[in-house]
Amino acid sequence: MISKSKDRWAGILLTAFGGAYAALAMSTLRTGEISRMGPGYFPTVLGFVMAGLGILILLRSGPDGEPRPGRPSWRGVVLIGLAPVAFGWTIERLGMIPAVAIATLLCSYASSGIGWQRRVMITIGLVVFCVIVFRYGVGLSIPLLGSWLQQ
Amino acid sequence: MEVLSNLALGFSVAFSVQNVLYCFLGAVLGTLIGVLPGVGPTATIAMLLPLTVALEPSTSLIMLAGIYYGAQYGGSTTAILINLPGEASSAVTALDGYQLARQGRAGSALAIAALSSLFAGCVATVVIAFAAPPLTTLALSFSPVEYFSLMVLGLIASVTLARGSVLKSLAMVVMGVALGLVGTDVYTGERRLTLGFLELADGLDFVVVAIGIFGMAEILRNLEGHEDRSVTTRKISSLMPSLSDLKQSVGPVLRGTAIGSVLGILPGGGALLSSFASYTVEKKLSSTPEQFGQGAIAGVAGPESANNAGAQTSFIPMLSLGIPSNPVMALMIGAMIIQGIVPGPQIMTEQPNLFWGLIASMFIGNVLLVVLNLPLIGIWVRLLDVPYHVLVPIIMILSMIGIFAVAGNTFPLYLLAVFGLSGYLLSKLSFEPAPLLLGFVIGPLLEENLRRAMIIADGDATVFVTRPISAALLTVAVILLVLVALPSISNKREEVFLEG
Repeated sequence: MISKSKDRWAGILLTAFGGAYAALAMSTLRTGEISRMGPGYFPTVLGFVMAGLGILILLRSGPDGEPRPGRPSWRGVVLIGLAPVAFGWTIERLGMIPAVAIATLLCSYASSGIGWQRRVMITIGLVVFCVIVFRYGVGLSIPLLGSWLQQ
Repeated sequence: MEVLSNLALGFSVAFSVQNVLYCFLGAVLGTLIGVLPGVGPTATIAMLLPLTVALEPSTSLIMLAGIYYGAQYGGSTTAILINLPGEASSAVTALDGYQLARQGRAGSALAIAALSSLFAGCVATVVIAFAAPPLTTLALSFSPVEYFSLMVLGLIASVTLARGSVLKSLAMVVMGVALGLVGTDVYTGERRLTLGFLELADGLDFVVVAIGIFGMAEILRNLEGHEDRSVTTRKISSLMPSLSDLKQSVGPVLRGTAIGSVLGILPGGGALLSSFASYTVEKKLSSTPEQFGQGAIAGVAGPESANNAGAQTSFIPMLSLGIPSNPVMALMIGAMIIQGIVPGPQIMTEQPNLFWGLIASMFIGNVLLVVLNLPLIGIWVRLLDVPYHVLVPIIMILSMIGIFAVAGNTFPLYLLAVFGLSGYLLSKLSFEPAPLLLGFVIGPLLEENLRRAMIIADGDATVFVTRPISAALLTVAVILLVLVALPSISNKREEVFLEG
């Protein structure tokens, strides 16, 4: 039952993605002909194949995909999804130490059930580890403190 | 004996201080992360791949290979000790290995597993040394027509022989190919499908895709369930297997090695299919089949040798044809591309040092693993106590620093968020991530060969079925697809892959 509606969504998603991909290829790239394929030829074909497979999955949506149990942890999805964005934004401006600290805190709040003291300890530990390994061990040239924090 | 002189060359490369050191480091890191639950070999390699970029090409591949068999080994250790296979191919080992551990024979089971893996690894390496060169010669005679058909067969086979719905996996392959085409068109130099992002001119970052759909999506899946890992660390008795255990293992190890060596070459086969096949065979051949599942030593020895042999021989299509048969090999090819090496049959002749050095390092890696890991088992087991809320930040931070350091800009980090979340969505919809990665790696090659084939044939698409080798390859692909569509086979197939 669950997997039936899941397959329906899977089919819809694929069809939409394939269609959009083909449309993008056709509208921005020269297709050419089969003996001299342009940059858009193969992508267009792929987009249609993908959409076709999506429709097949939609039509067949039977109970063949094994259901994966478990509800998404929305807190995890949001925080883990945010971590690379926050890390990317901060590492350029604030440097390695703040970037690692902020991303670590975000990731640690993705799991519930531990106190803030533990989160702080994990953060300090990981910052120290990264500074030692990446700055002094591997010798990466990422500044420890970025331009925004330096006078 | 050309192979021998080539192997001698390989050993001279692999035995350099630097290469032995990195092989060792890779094996240890691989075991360390492979032991951690919920982090499989693919995610491990993807995560550690940025660390190897600065190394020389042969050293970096040797280290990655070390990480791979280290991760395999770590997976079986936890399968035996706490019934928690670190990766799918150890699931079979857990069946009897854990029962043995419960009977107080953990040490014996671990030692048998390690020795079977060592034996199988060494034999499979010899198989690679002999099988890869002729295949390479064959592949070098292929025109783009045959090469295209070969890649199609490889992709189809990897979909039908691996787990998951065939239709959905096919869709994932196509999506992977589609994503692989983003970037600059090799023929016209035009940027395509970049949605206007200049950063995408060189294509989507391979490491980002791999870490996103394997590593990050896996973390999000693990966050769903509540942590329930009450690990009761058992005292490990003697690591010396008894004489009767050894005797009982000889047959299963020999058969397992043979099964694994053959199945490993097949696309999608590799370690998982090999260990299932070996377990089934041993159970059928055994005079006491009722012991299987209750702690039969043959149920550990056979599958362990099979999965290690399979893991090893899956290097054959990657090295000789440039075609990855599983996601780990896709990562290896990705690593080569990052190093500026064009994967394909020419590697053996153009980069003999790399080719034979990698093969020779497999002997060294396998021996290092046994020598090092048996005494260190106590430490590995303690790693299981590391709680998930500590692991998540570590995995994420290491991945992100690696990605940033290699790219030198932050764009791939934003992409990582996109691929992590999309990968999770796909897995919620029961799409397998492995075919997507295979398609992504093969995509550009597939298109290039198709275009060249069509230029040569002047647009006549029938060349694919009129040239005999190409026709044969495509016929096999069609037969595979028809076979899995048959109800009797498709039911059996689901049964086999259900536990994996």
